[in-house]
Amino acid sequence: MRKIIVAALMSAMIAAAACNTRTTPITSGQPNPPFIGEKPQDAYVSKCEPGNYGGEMILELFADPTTFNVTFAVDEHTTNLLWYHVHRCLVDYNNADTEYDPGLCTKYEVSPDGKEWTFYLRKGVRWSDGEPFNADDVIFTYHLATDEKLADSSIRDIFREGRDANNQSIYPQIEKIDDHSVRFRLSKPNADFLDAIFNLYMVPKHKWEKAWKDGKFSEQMTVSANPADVVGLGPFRLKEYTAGERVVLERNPHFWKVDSRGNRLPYIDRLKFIIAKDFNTIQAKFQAGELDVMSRLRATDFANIKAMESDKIKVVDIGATVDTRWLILNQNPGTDSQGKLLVEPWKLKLFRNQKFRQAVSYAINREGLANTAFVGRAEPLYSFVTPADKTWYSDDIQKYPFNPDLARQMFAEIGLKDTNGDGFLEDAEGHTIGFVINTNSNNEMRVQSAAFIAENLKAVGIKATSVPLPANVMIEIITTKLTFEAVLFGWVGGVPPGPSNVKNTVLSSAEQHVCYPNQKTPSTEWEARLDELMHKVETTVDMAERKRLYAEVQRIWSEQLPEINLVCEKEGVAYKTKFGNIRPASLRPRLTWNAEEIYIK
Amino acid sequence: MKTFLLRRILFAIPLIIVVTFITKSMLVLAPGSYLDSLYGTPGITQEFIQRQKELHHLDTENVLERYWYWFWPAMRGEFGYSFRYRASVWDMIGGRVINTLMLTGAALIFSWGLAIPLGVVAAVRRNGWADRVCSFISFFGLSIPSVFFSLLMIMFAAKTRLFPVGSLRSAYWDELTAWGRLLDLLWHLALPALVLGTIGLAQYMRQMRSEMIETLSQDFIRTARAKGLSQRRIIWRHAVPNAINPLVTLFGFSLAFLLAGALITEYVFAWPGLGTLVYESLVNKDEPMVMAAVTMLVMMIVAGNLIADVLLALIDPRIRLE
Repeated sequence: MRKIIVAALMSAMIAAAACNTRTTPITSGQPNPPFIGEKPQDAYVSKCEPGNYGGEMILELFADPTTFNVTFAVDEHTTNLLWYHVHRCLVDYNNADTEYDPGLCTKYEVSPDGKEWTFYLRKGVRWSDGEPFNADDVIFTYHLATDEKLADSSIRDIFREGRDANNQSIYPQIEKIDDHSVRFRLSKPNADFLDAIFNLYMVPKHKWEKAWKDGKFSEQMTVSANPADVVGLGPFRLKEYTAGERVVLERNPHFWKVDSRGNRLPYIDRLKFIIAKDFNTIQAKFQAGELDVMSRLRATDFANIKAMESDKIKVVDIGATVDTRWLILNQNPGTDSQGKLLVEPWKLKLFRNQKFRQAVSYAINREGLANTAFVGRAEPLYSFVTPADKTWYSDDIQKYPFNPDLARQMFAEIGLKDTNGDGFLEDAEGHTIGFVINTNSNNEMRVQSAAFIAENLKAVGIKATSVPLPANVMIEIITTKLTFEAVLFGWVGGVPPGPSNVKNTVLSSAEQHVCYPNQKTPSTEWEARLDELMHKVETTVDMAERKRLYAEVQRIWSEQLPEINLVCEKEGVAYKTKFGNIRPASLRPRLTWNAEEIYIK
Repeated sequence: MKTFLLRRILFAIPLIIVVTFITKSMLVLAPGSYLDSLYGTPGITQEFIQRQKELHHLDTENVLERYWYWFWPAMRGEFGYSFRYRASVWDMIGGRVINTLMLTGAALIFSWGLAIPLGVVAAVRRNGWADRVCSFISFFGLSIPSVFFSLLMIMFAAKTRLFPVGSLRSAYWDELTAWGRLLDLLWHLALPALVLGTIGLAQYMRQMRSEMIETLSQDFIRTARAKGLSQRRIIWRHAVPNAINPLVTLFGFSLAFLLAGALITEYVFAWPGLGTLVYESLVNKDEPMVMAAVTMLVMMIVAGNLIADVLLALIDPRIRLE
């Protein structure tokens, strides 16, 4: 009897307590945290549709951030979190329209010879801790970025213009014109200098100069640091990070943009990133309403999520991305440390033969590949630039529509015949033509693609086999060992897409020119021509001329096939319709590149 | 007892050295390094990767050398900084340990709390409907793969919205009162603890049942019945304490694996625990983190085994520890 009474009392207590579990309502219509101080004198006026204050957006984050120090942020999850949201550069980038936006500057100027870049900063801008922002901060950030003693920073490699006679790096010079203007002087013209500037995320001098001078900057703003230390110029600032669970960004009360009615931005109070690694979990969370957006819908998941579309959920097909997928045949005539050739001589001869590579390209059924491995969510790709790069993509390239008969004919023209009737071609010395295609085993779509392509090649008489390898091993054989025959892999496109971001794959001297990396001098005429064209693209100032030159680069690439480009994947995003001013883009961050303009209707 | 304890604790030291050496050798000998994950990232150059290699002593492939670079600072208590996070490994691990302990602790309570009574009931009412239900639960728990079970529960949560879809707390945690927070935590704990505890429940229940059946057939039980003791007294005061012997050892092992066993469940439920941290560190070859985690797990297992032996000695007067 007593036990029953106790149990009843306990349940009543729990029920009573459960009723009063909330302290504050979720949205209130007033900005919380509120803005501090006056609007900046030169506040940026956004052309977006005006919205209301309050509320929060819950997004997904695929891995814990590795640091909160933006100077050292390299991996994609950390940069997706910090770039655009917490930190900004001298200029902004509009992901949807793929063009630069003056952002922190009122304007910027280039000298006619392309060697002097002047940036005029807005007046009255304050850091997220309230201190004023001016040219001194820009100069400090630049010196930090080009400091050779900072082992963990990679920004200086982007600014380096070359090396002098003593092998010392040459960087552009920076000078302060006045409190709100800086000028960069380059040693050679660079029309894409903004692409380098777009990696220079501003860091406050008043906070970090001393630590940097004492050599302690590398220990600052780690993941266990105090959130108040992470001071930036973005629309949000770090509020809280709980390891493995979530990162919360709250409004930066000093942010320097206003809307067309003069109200300060951002509208939303908080961005909450929930850390979840398994894609199924993320999908389930979105379905249950625990996540407000899904910014990455892979090929195999798009159909499922599209079925959820309703008046509350919108699913958008953002089309082709700037990421590429390719097959590379090893053209490296070098030897390993024991003097043995990396590739067998008769195979190397074939791989270095342009007709052979073109025939292989004709033999691959790209539409079929898109429909099987990518369940229709991909389109054929014939060059290293995808149609998503609206500024630079050129359609005047050689294309390889699926044509196995033409492939067989081309193989016959280079002397490959099936002499012994086994269904596979042999060369004049009797070697059966075949090779191994490696790809990384942890990516299901790549494994399927490799198997599919091997089948395509078998059908035209090439004995190709697909051998998936663990990612570590793959990277080792592409970078160090270089003993592969064919690899199937892909590149993630940089933001913004363009010539400056492809130098490390196109140039013959580049380490990611996988078919034959790190060449001292170009080994073929077409590689020499590519190097020459890329140099011209970089140093020419006239945009129309640059586009023409870059189009020629793409044409040569598609004819010579250092990478046999296969498909580019289409991606999608999904979001709740309660958000206004969402402008999905294929460049990351896909939905929150304009986070300051998003509001809840 | 004291010499026994001392001997066991001292034995842990060579054990840790051997296990960490083997771990380090495998990390070194396996192809690739932590820097491979940066390959292909726009903006990262080979020069940067080379600088990082020299910084973290990754340029030598000599196992002994690499082990020494870890061992000597570790002896002084410095387990280093994670390659990936640049934060002290203990900072990273410490935050997660509590979360995992919560989850495995709840699973422990769930599995043991149900296993003992259900095992007893199944043994006492052998071949009755209660026994058949318990058998079904056992076979279910033993045969279902934990990945599948976790995913099933996630789908169940998403469809019915009766439970949250993974994670430790709700997005609106900040606005909850203290009571609300406790309830929110329990609500989130329910499904993962269920998944994790089911396997344990199945095993221990079967074990308890067979022990009870054997004990109940003993002579002293017949004597007790002849003397007129009530059924309830016989079962709970005489049979269970005797039957529970082997299970005490198992319980000690459960404690040992409190931190080690929850990887898959944590991953699928997005539970921010130690399992996902160690798994990620392994996949990314974040050597300082892996070594610190391995050291800690070895110590836990030694401690758990020790507790198991001590508990057994305490409960069973026939056993003497030397």
